[in-house]
Amino acid sequence: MKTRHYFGALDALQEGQFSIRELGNRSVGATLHQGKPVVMLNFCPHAGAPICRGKITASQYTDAEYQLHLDAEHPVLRCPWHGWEFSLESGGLHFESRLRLAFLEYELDGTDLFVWI
Amino acid sequence: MPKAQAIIDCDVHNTYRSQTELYPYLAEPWLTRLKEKGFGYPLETFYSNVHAKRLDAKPENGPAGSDYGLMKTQLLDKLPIDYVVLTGEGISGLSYMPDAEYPAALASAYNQYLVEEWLSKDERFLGSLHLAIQHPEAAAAEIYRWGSHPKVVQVSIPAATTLPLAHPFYRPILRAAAEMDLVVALHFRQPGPSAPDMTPVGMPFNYLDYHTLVSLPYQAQLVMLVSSGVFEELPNLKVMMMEGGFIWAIHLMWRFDKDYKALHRLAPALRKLPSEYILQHFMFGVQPIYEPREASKLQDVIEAGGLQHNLVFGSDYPHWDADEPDFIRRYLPTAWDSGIFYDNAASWFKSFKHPA
Repeated sequence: MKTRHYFGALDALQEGQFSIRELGNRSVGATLHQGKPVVMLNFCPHAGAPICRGKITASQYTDAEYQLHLDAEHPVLRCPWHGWEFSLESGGLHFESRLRLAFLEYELDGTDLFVWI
Repeated sequence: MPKAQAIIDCDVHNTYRSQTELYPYLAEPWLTRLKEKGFGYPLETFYSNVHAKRLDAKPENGPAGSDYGLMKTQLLDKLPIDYVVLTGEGISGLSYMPDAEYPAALASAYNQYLVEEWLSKDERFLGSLHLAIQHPEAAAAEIYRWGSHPKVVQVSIPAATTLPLAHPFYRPILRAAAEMDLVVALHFRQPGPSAPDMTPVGMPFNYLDYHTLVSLPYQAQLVMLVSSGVFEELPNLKVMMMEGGFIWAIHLMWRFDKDYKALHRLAPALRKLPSEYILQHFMFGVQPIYEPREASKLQDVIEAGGLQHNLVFGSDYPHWDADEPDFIRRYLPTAWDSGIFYDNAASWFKSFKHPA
């Protein structure tokens, strides 16, 4: 049974960094990506690190001609422990894995952000 | 009675009776130099209390491996062997000579000698080119010169090199091998005057230390070949690691994949996990076979790494630690017989894809 928690004011969120709240018995992080909230458990599915303490950074990819690109439009969240990079958009990893960021449902009530846990 | 398993022996060390056998294939000024000074580097660096080669394999008139008749009796007909990849002997020290032109000329002479004096002798023989890798252009030229010969299937390169094989310096060699569909076979050999360190802590004290530690350069080559992305650049590049063991490859697959998950930005050309490149682009010789007290434990270890499709048989005849197939069979399940003794190697060597 999920519960609705008040996270904070939407205009307190910033692109490129997380705000972290303890809600119920869970640690939750929220940031903005292209103006929209991204909300997740502050928990790395790899080894349990507080992942929202990691760095949001441009993804790196190599195209079909093996040219290297940095893509700030599609950032990744790099775990502060082992450095695994999760897509801020899909929650997935650079390599094939079943592990995903644990995104949380949220809703906006005016300028307030609420999270379902 | 079931038909005997066909066997490809990927590692048989042939050699010349004396350096005079190379004279017809060498031009001046190199011919005079060979006559007056020989190769000019020591072949045996480390002290060993045992012989380097089987004592019974030495013919009266030359070193072990120099007599076709004895090789035929002791190996080809005895076991029997269906195909033998001749891997050469002292000639592999060319890459550890300090200069470039002389060893390149010696490699060229040896390769012609190999084709004319050995590959023509027995239809079961396949050949390994020897190269002076400190001269990549000349080495690549040798590969293009002989690569389309139907019985030349690989190039032999020493496992320890002064730069990683993945370094762009050596790329002409790897590119030529991939283009001509030749396997790149790594063999360890004792260091000559221009060899790199054999271990990261300096030189081994003696042959026991050296022979136990030979896997170290193979490990370094494997990791950097994969991370460099050369297998994306040269998808047909195939590396056969002979005599260096293979259990360490399982360690590397697990460690490499784990580290890659964090550090993949440092290997941007890769399209899949390092272990997938290893299983696709590397084979490992089973000789000298591990001899755990409980034989079945070796199978358990290999299966843990899924490495059974990447193992090939090489007897290493006539060296002191050579293994005959039945000895290797004591440690491996019969279900792997066809793969290890034939299929895995046949899937790589071009002569089995395009029969002569």
